[in-house]
Amino acid sequence: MLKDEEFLFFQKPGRYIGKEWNSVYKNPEGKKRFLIVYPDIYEVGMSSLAIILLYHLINERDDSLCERLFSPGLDLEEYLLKNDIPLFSIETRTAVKNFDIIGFSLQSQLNFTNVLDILNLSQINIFSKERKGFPIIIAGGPVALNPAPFSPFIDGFVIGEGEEVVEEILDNFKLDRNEYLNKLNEIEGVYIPEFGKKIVNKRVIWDFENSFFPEKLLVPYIQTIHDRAVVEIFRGCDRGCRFCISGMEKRPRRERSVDKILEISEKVLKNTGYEEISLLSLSTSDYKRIDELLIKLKERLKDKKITISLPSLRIDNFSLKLLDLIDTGRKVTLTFAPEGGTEKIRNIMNKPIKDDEILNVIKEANFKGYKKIKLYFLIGVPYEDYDDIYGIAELINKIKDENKLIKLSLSINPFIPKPFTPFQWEKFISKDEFIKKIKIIKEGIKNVNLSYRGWEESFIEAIISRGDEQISELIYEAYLEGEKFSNWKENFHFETWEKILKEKKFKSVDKISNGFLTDEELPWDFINIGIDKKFLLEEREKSKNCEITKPCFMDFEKCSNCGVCFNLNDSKNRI
Amino acid sequence: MIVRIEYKKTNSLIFISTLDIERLWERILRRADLNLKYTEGYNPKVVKDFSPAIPLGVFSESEIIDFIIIEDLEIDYVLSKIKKVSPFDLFIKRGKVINEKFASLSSLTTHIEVEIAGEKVKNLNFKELELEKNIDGKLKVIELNRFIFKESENENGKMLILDSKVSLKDIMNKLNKMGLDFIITKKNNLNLQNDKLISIFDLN
Repeated sequence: MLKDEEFLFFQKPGRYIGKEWNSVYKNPEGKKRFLIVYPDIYEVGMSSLAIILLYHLINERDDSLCERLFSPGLDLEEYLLKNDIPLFSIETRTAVKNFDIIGFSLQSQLNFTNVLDILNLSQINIFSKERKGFPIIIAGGPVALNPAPFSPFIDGFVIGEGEEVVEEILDNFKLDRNEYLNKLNEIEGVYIPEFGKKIVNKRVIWDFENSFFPEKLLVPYIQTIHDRAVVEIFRGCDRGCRFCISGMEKRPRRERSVDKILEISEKVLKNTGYEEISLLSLSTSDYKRIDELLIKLKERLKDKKITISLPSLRIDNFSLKLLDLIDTGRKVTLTFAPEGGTEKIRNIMNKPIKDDEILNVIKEANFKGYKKIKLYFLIGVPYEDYDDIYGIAELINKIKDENKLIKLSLSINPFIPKPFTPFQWEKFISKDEFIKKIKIIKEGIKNVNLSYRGWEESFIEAIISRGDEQISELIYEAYLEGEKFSNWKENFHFETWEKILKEKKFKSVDKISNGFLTDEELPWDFINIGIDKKFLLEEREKSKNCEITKPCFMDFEKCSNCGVCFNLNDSKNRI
Repeated sequence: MIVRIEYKKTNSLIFISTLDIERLWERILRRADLNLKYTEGYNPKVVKDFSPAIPLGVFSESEIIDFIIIEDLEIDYVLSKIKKVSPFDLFIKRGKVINEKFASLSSLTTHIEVEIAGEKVKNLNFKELELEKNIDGKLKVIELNRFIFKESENENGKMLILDSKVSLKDIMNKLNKMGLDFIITKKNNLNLQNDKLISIFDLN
């Protein structure tokens, strides 16, 4: 085990020493030992609400303990390998292999190689079938929704929201590996690849209002990406953007009451001392009583000098009114995601924002003093033509013409077709087409800061996102070639991935890049996230005709019949 | 009222940078739920001031923070509230109310007292040490002697009173380069007045 002073030899030792405010230390005797792992560095992992929430949830139990682990920095990794020291948890520096259950939170396809790296550093067999006894390796999070590419490495996948299922995983703990895996296989929302495919129903927290929220949030010593208090105000989003996996997989939309949010906020701030609180959701301005919430929260916090932040704002004047309401005076960079350059393509994506709305909001924002604006667009969306690409440049130029003094940034991402969306069957943009379209935008705009995600990393993410079991070999080979932290641009080596693709000639890669037929079986078809395939096909058809589907919270009488309220809810009532 | 607190930085906190310690104090003070004075502006922060920064890996028996409470309270009450919400490795030694703040704690600190513990350190003549500093890519040699106000021995190693302008990081680099095992602990922040060194905590 490493001694305290030895950490001084590594970059940012604060990543490894623990003892943060509200961290939990328990005597392991007689307890079920759970290690929660985020396969990226501490600063990223500690910004994940899922990690913090499950950490505190498990530690509330008298019969269990939960410790944390993040990917070690490359310097510590080198040291551990050289000295044959197995990787260890943060809290008690217990070797990972001595825990009963290891739970990985999978948030990015590209850093799955980090999961393999962590297993190797922990001196645990990488392949599930070669493992005997404990620990049991489980994984959850959005990336686990298509388990196929990761199934040789993981003993059990958790599909959907973790709060209840993690309790059941601990309740059913058995001292024998096979007996325990059999028990886990009976739990709703758990998929054990070893026992073969079965229909796995996504877990949903139906009583979101009263669901667990940690009031004593961990407060890191070192600065993390999101270094502030958070309170989740609603879960799910029914806007129905056809490219967005979160919008589909996190349905149905469930809100916390204003009173509950106020109560949690006050307790979290009192227990952490944070100077900022972020109201978290997929689309914060869609919270039904957002005005009332902000007015009341501001009133309650006025003497404490707490800043309220609103992530994920929609591009409309209402969002600007909300910023007025929290009135920090701080003119932050406003970030909006129109996604498409023309009204047509935005309708295809079911994000029906009019050009005038975008122009008006930015004019208004400029008038209010917001001088830095960042806009996100997707290219390679189904049924997109070159007019839509010229449309991006035209829209940007109009914005610049009307607002000469603003600093405009434009961020372009290649569209990646994701499972469980109406676009799950579509092709991924070719490199030539991507380059051509970027060139059109580059040449069409002036005085705008343009950045775009590389086609290469998006291509690999696209392959893993819709991959089948074969793709696990791509991940494994890339890991053997040294790919780590591949979601960090500087660590992504396309030549490595490309070489493996050329050598192995995976049959499924062509299909994944060129698209699936609507009547063929998809690798994730056995996962039931509650949304009917029929609904996704209808949405796909509607997108071809630029038809809009309204969110059900706006038009409750006109249910879009996505199926989620009926397919997973025992009470069979719409919520 | 202006409150001055002296605290120890031990164990896990030696891995936390000065900036992170300042953020830690922001949160301790807010958790303590005192009626604090905040800065103006878009991101109000507690008005506070610290003794000079020390590098990662250095223990400290004397770190000082000043902050302002906008009501009159008993110092013991303030200390008890702060102790309840401070991490274990940040040990509150003592506190007092000061009448007026004349200058920043950094500028008041003209000297620091440090212990450099280690078997081999005992035999070292620090006055003869030359520190190396990389300035704009050029290696500059600095004689440590220029910064030593007083050098003595104790049972653990050496006690030095140094000009606060010295870089402890440079001393650590030098001792590491010499292959020595050592532990540095800051013992006191001092102010030189009329040839007398007074602890910063005792000023005002």
